[in-house]
Amino acid sequence: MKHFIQTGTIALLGILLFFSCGTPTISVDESTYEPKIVINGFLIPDHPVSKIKINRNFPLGQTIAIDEIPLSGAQVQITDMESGMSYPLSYNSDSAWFEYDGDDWAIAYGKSYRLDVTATVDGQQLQAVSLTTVPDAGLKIDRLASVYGDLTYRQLNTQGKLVSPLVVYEQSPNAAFYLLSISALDAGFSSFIYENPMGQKLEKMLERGRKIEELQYSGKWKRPDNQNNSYSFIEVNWFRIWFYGPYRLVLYAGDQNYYHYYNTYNSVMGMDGNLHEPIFDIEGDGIGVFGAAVTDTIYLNILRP
Amino acid sequence: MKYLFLLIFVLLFSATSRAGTISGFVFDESDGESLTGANIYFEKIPYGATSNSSGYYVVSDLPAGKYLLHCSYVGYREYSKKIELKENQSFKLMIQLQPALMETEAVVVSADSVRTAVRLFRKAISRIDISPSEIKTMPAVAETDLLRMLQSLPGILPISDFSSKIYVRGGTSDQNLYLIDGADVYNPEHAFGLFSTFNTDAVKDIKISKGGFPAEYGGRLSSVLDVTNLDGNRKSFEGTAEISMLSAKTTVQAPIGSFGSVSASLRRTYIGETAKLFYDDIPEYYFYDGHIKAFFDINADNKLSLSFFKGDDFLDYIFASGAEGAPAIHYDWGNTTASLRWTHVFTPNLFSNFWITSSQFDSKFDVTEVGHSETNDLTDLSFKGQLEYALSKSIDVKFGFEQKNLHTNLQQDNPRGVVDVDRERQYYTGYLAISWKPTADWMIEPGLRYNTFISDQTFRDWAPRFSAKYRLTKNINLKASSGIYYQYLQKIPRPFIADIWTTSDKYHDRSKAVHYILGLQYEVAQNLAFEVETYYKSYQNLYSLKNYFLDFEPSRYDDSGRPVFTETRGLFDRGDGYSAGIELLLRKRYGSINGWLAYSLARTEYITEGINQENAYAPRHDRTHVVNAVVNVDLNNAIREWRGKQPSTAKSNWKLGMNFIYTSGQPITLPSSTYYGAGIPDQDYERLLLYPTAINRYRLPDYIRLDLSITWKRRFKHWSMAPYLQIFNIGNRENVWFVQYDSEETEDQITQEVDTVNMFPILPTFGIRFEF
Repeated sequence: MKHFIQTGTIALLGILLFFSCGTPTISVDESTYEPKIVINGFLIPDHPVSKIKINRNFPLGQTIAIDEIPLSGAQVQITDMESGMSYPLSYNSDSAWFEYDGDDWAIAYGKSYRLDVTATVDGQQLQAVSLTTVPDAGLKIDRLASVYGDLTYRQLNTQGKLVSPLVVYEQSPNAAFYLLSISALDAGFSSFIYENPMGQKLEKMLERGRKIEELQYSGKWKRPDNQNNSYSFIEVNWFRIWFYGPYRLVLYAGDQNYYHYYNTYNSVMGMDGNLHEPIFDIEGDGIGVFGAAVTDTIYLNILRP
Repeated sequence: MKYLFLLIFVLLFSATSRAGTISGFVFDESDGESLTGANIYFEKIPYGATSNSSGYYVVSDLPAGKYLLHCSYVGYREYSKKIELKENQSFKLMIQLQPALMETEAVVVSADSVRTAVRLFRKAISRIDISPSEIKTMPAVAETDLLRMLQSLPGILPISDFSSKIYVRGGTSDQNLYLIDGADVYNPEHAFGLFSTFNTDAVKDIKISKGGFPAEYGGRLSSVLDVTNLDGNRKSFEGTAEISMLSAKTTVQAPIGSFGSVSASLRRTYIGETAKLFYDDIPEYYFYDGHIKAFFDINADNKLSLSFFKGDDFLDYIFASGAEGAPAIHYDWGNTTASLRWTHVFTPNLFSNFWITSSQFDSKFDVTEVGHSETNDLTDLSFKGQLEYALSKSIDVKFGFEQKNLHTNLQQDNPRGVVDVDRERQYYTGYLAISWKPTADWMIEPGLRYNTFISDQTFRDWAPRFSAKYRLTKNINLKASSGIYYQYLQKIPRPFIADIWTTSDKYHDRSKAVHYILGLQYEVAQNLAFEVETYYKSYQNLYSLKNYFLDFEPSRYDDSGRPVFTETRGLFDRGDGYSAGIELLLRKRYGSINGWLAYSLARTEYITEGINQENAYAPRHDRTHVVNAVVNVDLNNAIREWRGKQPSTAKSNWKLGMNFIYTSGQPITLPSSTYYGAGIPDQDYERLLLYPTAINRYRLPDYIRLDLSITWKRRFKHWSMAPYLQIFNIGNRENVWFVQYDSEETEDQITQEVDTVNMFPILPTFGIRFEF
């Protein structure tokens, strides 16, 4: 018995060592792929109905031809839920989006609109519906209280304290969230701030696979503050500023659809590396967002010290 | 509840008319440590007992007469004594067992004179006993670790190489009850889960119960890990010291006069400093932990022990050291536990333990520049008692109570809002467990536990337990167990930062599980056991943290208008589920070659509201097939035995440890498709995005890992040293942790790339251990 155990142990060790080497491969098949209509469009009061993107999705791993992305043949219409009037959208082949051609219709504050899309993807007839409600009027950036315009990078005040760009705003009733879009308008190697607090160099970041747009564009959001105090603010942390020069700061008071989409579309991978579902407020065969927002815009100019 | 206490009083009252008894404690003669699980038996008569976790035994209902009492324990010389017992006499006998060899390791020990099948029969179903020496011999990820060692047992799994958390028979990691000297430990992890808080040098006894546990345990759905630390050497000073690439530690034991002992241990890591030798831009990080335990042998009927444990982790990281305005992370967290245990023998038949325990977990986390700060605390002050009553030769009764005072406090402050969840909770429980042996071949163990949990509503639950054992033949035992289990605390897991404990309340019902277990044990040969167990476990009200915290409303607003959240409503997804499986274990605990070979086949499925279109899915810790092989070899004695010689204690010897694990693929969610999109209308930046749907439907490639350790031990007159080398993943297999996605965009097309992120590569570590 003892000899059997000893011989067996040596044999077992050899076998296990053999099996514990190697590089497993992972193969991804298309078994879970389902064709979808991808919607990306927003209604903004006092703006024309435009930039309504209707695209298709693709199986994981497939090489995608850019011109196959838009569903140019889709049937798209928006219905004003109060009047019951429907407005068909037409495809703009130059911009690859859908828009309303007429001038007899404007998006109103506080109203609800329904988007209906019908399209054929991979030979399947698909349908998607989404309803959005535009927040009420009221959003307004308080230009006196906000810190914008010309600002030296990491500027100090007379007390020696750091002054950060700040957007103070009057809140819009019924907004689900507020999003400040921060866009550097002159992003490049010459305008990059090499003295940034993260100690990063643009060349190294691009070598590691980051895209310049990831530094050029960012957003910071918050939920509505106490409605009794109609003013709120969003501070632009200096570590979000990667370039000298002009910035556009667009403040959005977004609806529930946009709130769900913005906070989930790009957050599907958890810290453990696993994926989870985003929240899209679209019924039928659609994914993406059909949302609404009220906006206000100011500009910022970051000067070299 | 009142009927439970009535029954207890009836049992106590019946103690007045008794036949003779023999009782006492079983100790190790060399150091005075009490011995758990020693067998006491007599020649020619079918009476006997096993020493409990305090080393106490009682043989009751003995008629007057002359007896030859034997006591045996694996690794010790058999003890025999002639006793003359008079009618109604209570005979007290303190048994001191001599170690069979002057050798502290259990790798080379003589076999027990009690049959392996008998020892298996006495063991509770689904329970596995581990000796500290078994843990120390196993290869480790740099540091010997109790929880990682448990991951090599059938039915116990990790989520990845990077975590010491355990998932027992499909349950989540918060469903395990961790006890150190009777005190609960809530977050037993160091280094973001890489290591556990249990210092194996300070441990005397380890019991892991994977299910069907008796009424004395409750409050968790899946398992109990009950760890007892060393009382301390009562005869002489002794100690160990160890230094490795990642840590230095020491444990010392000493007598306190003639009436007690003390043991203390301390461990300090320098993980950050070692990592800096290989990598740049590493955070400042270390942890320490230590324990001190004092044992006082007041008299034959009263013992007192005081135990204190503290461990803390410290992390500091500046994103760009030297850069002006660089954000920095400061994160400190740790556990503190203390317990006072009074062991009292009321009568020879009525043995008791009473505890006052305190457990505290606290963490402080802040990120400068971003303005985020968090404190996350939990305190538990408990009073509990357990009494064991030998009612007759065939009936033992165990009953007790526990009262917990819990305080959880989570404070978060950031520009978007404030979290202020501060809660006081009370937990009361009483239990009764009967062990009835109607014949020599049967053991019936019914039990009942009653829980009351008071939060913003009161939960009252009866939790019945039942198990039965039957000796089918002299080599084969059959076992069955069932029970209902409740849990009133849920843990919110967070990768890389301490988990948060929350409690059942008016929005979250308590969790419930029902266990059904059947088992067969077969003595293949003396000291070689084969066990098969099959189980089914159903779950109700499993809570998982929502993937997104978007739609829950604040309780109020602070002075600056920020939302303040004081409730956990809307924080969790609720679900149900089940686990089922079969486990096979072939184990040889002692001898120059020892270890185990195990296989498990299992399936766990959860159905969670709002997840996976509410279809069943396998959680990430589900594995269909698992094979474990653990082998520890004392090379010198294995060769001696090969040559037909008896094992001996040589001046120097070599030990080899091997740990092999194979698991079939881990479930993971893959994107069902990708799409081109953007997040903000005015930003002209579209990119390829992932759209996952079918949750955990895909399986990663099989996981295979072989670890080896080799130790050379050299003994000197009063001390010994043992340099060792441990190699984790010696085959350098690239086991997949998760999948990552990338895309390359040109003017007219987008190319998608799928790659993997792997777990630990080959990881050699070395160190040296001293014993004195």
